[in-house]
Amino acid sequence: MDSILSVKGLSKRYGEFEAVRSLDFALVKGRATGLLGPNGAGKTTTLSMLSGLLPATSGSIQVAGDAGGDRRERIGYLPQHPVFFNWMTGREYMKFAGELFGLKGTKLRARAGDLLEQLGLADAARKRIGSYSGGMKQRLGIAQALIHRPELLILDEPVSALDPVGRRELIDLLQGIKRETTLLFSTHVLHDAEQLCDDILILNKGELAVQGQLAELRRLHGKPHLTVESEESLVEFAEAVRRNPAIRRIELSEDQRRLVLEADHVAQARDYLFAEIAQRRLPVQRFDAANASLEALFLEVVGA
Amino acid sequence: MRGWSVLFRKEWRESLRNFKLIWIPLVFLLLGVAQPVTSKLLPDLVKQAGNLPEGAVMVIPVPQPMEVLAGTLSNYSTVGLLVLVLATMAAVAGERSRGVTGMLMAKPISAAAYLSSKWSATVLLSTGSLVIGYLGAWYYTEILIGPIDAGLALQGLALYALWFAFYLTVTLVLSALMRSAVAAAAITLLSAALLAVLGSSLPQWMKASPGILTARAQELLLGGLAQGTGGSVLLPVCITGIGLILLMVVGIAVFRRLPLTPQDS
Repeated sequence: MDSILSVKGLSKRYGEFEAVRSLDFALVKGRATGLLGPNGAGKTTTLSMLSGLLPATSGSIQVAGDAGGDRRERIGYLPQHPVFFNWMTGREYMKFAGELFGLKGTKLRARAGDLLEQLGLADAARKRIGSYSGGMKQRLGIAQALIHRPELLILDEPVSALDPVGRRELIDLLQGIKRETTLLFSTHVLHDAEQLCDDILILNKGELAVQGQLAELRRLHGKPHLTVESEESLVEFAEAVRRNPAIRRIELSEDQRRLVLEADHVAQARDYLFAEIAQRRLPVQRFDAANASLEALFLEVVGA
Repeated sequence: MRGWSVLFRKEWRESLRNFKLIWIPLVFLLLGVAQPVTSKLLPDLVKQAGNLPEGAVMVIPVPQPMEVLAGTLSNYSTVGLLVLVLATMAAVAGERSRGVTGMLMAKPISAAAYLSSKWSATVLLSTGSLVIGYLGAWYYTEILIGPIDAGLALQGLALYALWFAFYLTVTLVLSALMRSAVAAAAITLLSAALLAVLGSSLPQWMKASPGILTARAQELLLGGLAQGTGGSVLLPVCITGIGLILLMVVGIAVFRRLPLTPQDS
């Protein structure tokens, strides 16, 4: 597997505080990687160092096949809160961004037009950016990051500031972009990561806790999970279930109406649970049997 | 420096869109024209006011032409500097705190191109405004008061232009290195005031100071600078020029190492 970017021993220290500690990872060409972690884990710090905005305290960042060149030439970057010159129009900003990469003339105009079209900003292209909504700014941010056809697109929390509709649209859009370029994005919305990522990196307290292919990680870390949700308290039910040796772990939510179980064999556990539920005539609202979700893995890793 | 011309054009367009390119030259022009006009009209105005006691005679002479130009420049060094420093203080600090700088520096732009494009736009605007205002003053002085020695007038202008460029460089570099635009402006204005006071109270010690440039320009215009004392001008000119370049070099070197993310933890 060809890596597009490799990071070795990357650290960032602010005085005594070590925001990021000795990261080692590589991004595989053509794949989408999600950078996950709780708030304050060092996601933004890491992405800022990769995009060249923040000098690293130590460690190296190497773009494949690049000897001493400016890696910013080959990376597109969108910060968490993209800000623009509000007096420019969307089209003017695209042109400005392209010129900074040395593009010009009809080629640049065509590229800018295509991207504005692709991101649904064609109608707004002549309006001042000051009048754009948050979602439009986010999309313009992605458009300007793609102007020079970067080999790697880095997005810092691209979806977290959007409403559900905007989020849906952006995910669909990123699905498309993913086919053209390598993608690295941070998020704390695990569901989005599950939809987009091939690989994941989980940061916790500045350290890389987990890295690998999403499918692989699920298989390795995740025992099958079963969830039962009921209208009534599940305390007694939980007591009964606990005695069954096929159930390995059991967790009752605080309001006592949600039970999460871990089992070695889903089918067996499911049959047992159904029988128990039927016998007790539990008013079940939801029953769910699935492989470990990213959320379960995440919580396990982060230790919350 | 590929990005330089792109950035410079952006600065220029921005000054046009926020009308800086119009109102700053206009302020300088008004200040410049006001000096000869009021000098000419003041005696008449006092006479017209007519509330002097019976028999009192108040003679206010119309000043010499070169005195009028010196007065104009003196206004520029106070009000003019204030206006320019306030217009420049947010050049970098404003963009940095909003996070625009982070968006820009993720693109292949060098710190040198980023800062020097801003410096060029700022100095061009200040020099242009100064020239426009000064020409206005010159024109009205010729019409209303009397002829002007062009050679001396231009030398005086050049000294002031350099003095402005120096303090605007100070503002710009401070704006790049500090989070607060207001602090950048305050430090510039305080240091300008301090150097001016030191220059007049300790002239022996301040011969090479940038703050002495305005005093030398005044002496030059008013004929107080004897022939053959060119050295007393050349020294501060050289020191100011070197200081200005050093400030930029240090500013760029430090800026390169700054975190450019808007809210760094």
